[in-house]
Amino acid sequence: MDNSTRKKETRLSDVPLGMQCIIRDIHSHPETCQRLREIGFNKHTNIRTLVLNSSQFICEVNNTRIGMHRRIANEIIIEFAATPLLDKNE
Amino acid sequence: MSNSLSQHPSIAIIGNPNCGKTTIFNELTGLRQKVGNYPGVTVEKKEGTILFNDGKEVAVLDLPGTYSLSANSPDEKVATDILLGKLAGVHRPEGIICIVDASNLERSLYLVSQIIDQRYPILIVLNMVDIAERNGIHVKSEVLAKTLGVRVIPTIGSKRSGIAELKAAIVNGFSISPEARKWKLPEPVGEEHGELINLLLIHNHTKEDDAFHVAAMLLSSPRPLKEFQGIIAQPVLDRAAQDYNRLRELGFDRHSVFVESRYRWIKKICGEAVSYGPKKTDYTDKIDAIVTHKFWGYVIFFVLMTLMFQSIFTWATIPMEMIGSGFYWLGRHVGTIIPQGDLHDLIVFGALNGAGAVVVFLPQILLLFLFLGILEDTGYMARAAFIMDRLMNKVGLHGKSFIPILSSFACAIPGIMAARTIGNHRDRLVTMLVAPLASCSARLPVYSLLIAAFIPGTLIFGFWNLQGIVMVSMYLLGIFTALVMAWLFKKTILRGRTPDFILELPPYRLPSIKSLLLQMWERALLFLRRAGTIILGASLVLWFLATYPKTDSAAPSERLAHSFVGQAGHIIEPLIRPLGFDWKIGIGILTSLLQREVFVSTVSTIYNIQGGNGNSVSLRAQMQKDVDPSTGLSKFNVLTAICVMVYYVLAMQCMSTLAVMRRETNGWKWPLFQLGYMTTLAYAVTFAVYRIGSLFL
Repeated sequence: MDNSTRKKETRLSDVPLGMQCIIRDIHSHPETCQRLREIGFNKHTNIRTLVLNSSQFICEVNNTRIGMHRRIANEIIIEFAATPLLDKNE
Repeated sequence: MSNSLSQHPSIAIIGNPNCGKTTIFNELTGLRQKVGNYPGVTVEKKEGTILFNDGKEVAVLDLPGTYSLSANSPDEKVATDILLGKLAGVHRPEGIICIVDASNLERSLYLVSQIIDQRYPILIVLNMVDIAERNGIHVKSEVLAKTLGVRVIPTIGSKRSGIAELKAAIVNGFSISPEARKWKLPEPVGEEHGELINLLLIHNHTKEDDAFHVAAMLLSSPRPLKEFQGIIAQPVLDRAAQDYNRLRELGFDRHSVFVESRYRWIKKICGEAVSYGPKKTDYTDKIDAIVTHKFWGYVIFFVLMTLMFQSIFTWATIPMEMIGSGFYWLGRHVGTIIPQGDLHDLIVFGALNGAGAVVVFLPQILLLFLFLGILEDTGYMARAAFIMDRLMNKVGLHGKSFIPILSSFACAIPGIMAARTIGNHRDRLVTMLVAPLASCSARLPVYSLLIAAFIPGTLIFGFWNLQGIVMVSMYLLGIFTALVMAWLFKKTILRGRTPDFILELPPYRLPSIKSLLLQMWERALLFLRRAGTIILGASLVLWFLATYPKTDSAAPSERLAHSFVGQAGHIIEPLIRPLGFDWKIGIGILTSLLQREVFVSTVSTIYNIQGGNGNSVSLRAQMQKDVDPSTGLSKFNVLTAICVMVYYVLAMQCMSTLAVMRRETNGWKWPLFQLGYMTTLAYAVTFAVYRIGSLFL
C-alpha cells in the first residue's frame, strides 16, 4: 500500500454525515467483527453515514440502517479510494 | 430436484430479523397457531397449521430471526440448533421457507447460502418487493431461481400479494439447491477446511451434512478452542490449532475469510439478479434525524409514552363501563334465578364479582398491546432502543436491554424472554432481574381502580388530566427503579464490560392490521383464560375463606372479621400497618402473590361480602366510603392509594414470572433473589412514601 492510499484511510466515526465511503477493515473484538461481517460490513462494501452524535452512530450498509456505539464506528476503517484494494483473502 | 412433502409434514420459516417473517407466517396460518416454548429452553415457539383446500394440513414453525447459523444469542441458537437437528424434542423440518428481504438481498442470501449448504429442501420467498422497488432495486426472481436452482416466489406479505402462489408451492415446490457448497475459499483455506471435515467424520462421527458447517465454524470462530473441548474430539481441535498458525503465517485472516468468500459468491449472484433504478423520495433519513436526535429523540419518546398511557385511560372508559354493566346485569339476573343462600352468594359475589372486576380491564390491556404492536411494526421500537442506548450505557447495559424492559410493559414474561437476544450472559441476567419493574398490564387494573377512585380528574394546563399524569408517573417510577437497580447490579454482583451495541433499524412502514389484530386476539384469549381459571378459582376460594366460619352476628363487617380471611388479615396487619395498609389490603397483597390483578378481585369480593352486591363501579364507591370506626376517618385516601400503587410498581407479585426466571436461569437462585430484592425494595420505598406523604396529605 503506498502512502497516497494510506492517507485516504480514516475511521468511520470521523466521516462527515451523508458521505459515502468504502469499508477497508475492522479492528474490533473478534465477536463484534464477526457479527458486523455477517450483517454486511465486508471489505469494499459501500457505507453511508446518517446520524452521528456524542456516543451513537447510524450508517447505511446494503440498504440497511445500522445503529451502533460510536466506539464501534471508531474501530471501522474506511477509505475514500475510488478503486477497491485487493487483499490476501481473495 | 423437486421434493413432495410427506403425509404429515412439518416445515420451518426462517429469515433475518425484520424481513417480514411473522407477517408471512400469520398470512399462511391465520388463527390456526399456538404459542409455546421449545423443550428445555424458554425461547418462544410459534407453531401453526396451513390448511389446504383438499383438507391437507402442513405444520409450520416460525423460527426466531437470525442473520447466520453462528448463533450469538439464545434465540439464534434455537433457530440454528433446529436447522442442524440438534434440539432435542423438535424434529428436523422437512423443508425450509427462507424469507428474503428483497431490498437487502445480499445480506439475506448469506443465511440462505448457509441453509443451502445443509442440503435442505428449500423455497425462497422474496418478500417486500414493493419496498425494494421504491428503493430503486429490482430483483429478477426468475434469474435468482435459475441461479440457485430453487423456487423463488415474490411476495408483499402485508398486502397478501403472492401468498396464494406460496401456498401452492408449499405442496410440491421444495427442492435442494444444486449450488450447495459451490462458493470457493482461497486454496490453502479450502484445503485446511477439507482436512478438518475428514477429521470430524473420523474422530467426531459428525454427519456428513453437518461436518461442512462445523469445520467452517471451528476455523473461523472468534471463541477460543478450549470452549469446544468435550464437544469436538481432541485430534480435531489439535488440527484446528495448527491450522490457525498456518493460516496466520500465510497471511489469511481466518475470522473473515469464510464470511468474505461466501459474500463474494453472493455478490456474483446479485450482480446477475439485481438491477438498480432511480430511488423514490425516502423520508426515513429525515425522520431518523429527528427521532434519534440526542435531545428531540427523548422528547418524542416521552411524549409518545404519555400519549399512549393517556389514551389507554381515556379510550377504554366506554367499553370498560359496558363490560362492568354487563357483569352487573348478569349478577342481578343470575341472582333472581338462584334462591338466596350460599350458592347464590358464591356465584354472584364470588364468581361474577370477583372475575368480573378483572375482566372489566380487558379493553385497557388490548389498547396497551395495540400501541406496543404499532410501535414495533412501524419500526419505532428499534429507534427507542437506539436512543435509550445512551441512557442504558450509563447503567452498564446497552440499548438492546431496553427492548425487554419496554416489552415488560405488556407482560414481564415475554419481556424476560425478549432478553434472550442479548448475547452477554451477565447483561442478560441484569436485564431479566430488572425487567419486571416495568409496569405490566396486570398492574393496570390495580392502578386504574385506585386512580379512578381517589385521584381527581382535574385538568392541568387545561388539557393534561391529573389521573393520566399519575398513571404515567407509576410507569416512570418503574423504569427509573429498573435503571437504578441495573446500575447497582452491574457495579456489584454482576460486574462486567459494557458490551458492544449493534442494532438494525428497520425502515419505517405501515403496520399490518391483520398482525396487530391477531396479536390482540392472542392476548385477549390469554387474559380471559387467566380470568376464567386462576382469577375465578382464587375468587371462589377467597369467597369461601371470607364467608366461613359463620357467626350469628347480623353486621356484615363483623361476619367478615370473624372469617378465615378476617383472622388472617388481622394477623398480618401489624406487618403492613407501617405502610398505611389495613388488613383488607394485606389480604389483597397476599392473594395477588399469584398474579397482581387478583388484588382487584380480592378487594371486590371482600367489599361485596362486607357491603352488599356490586360491580367495579360500586367497588370504587365502597372503598371511598370505608371508614375506620375508631377514628371516623376514611380508611382509603389519596395517600393510601398512592402507597398501594407504589408497592405494586416495585413488588414481585407474579408466580408465572418467577417460574419463567427459574427456567431461564436453570435454577431457583436468581428467581428467589429477585423475589427477595423486589419485596424488600417495595416495602422500604412504600414505607418512605407513606411517612413523607403523611406530613403533607
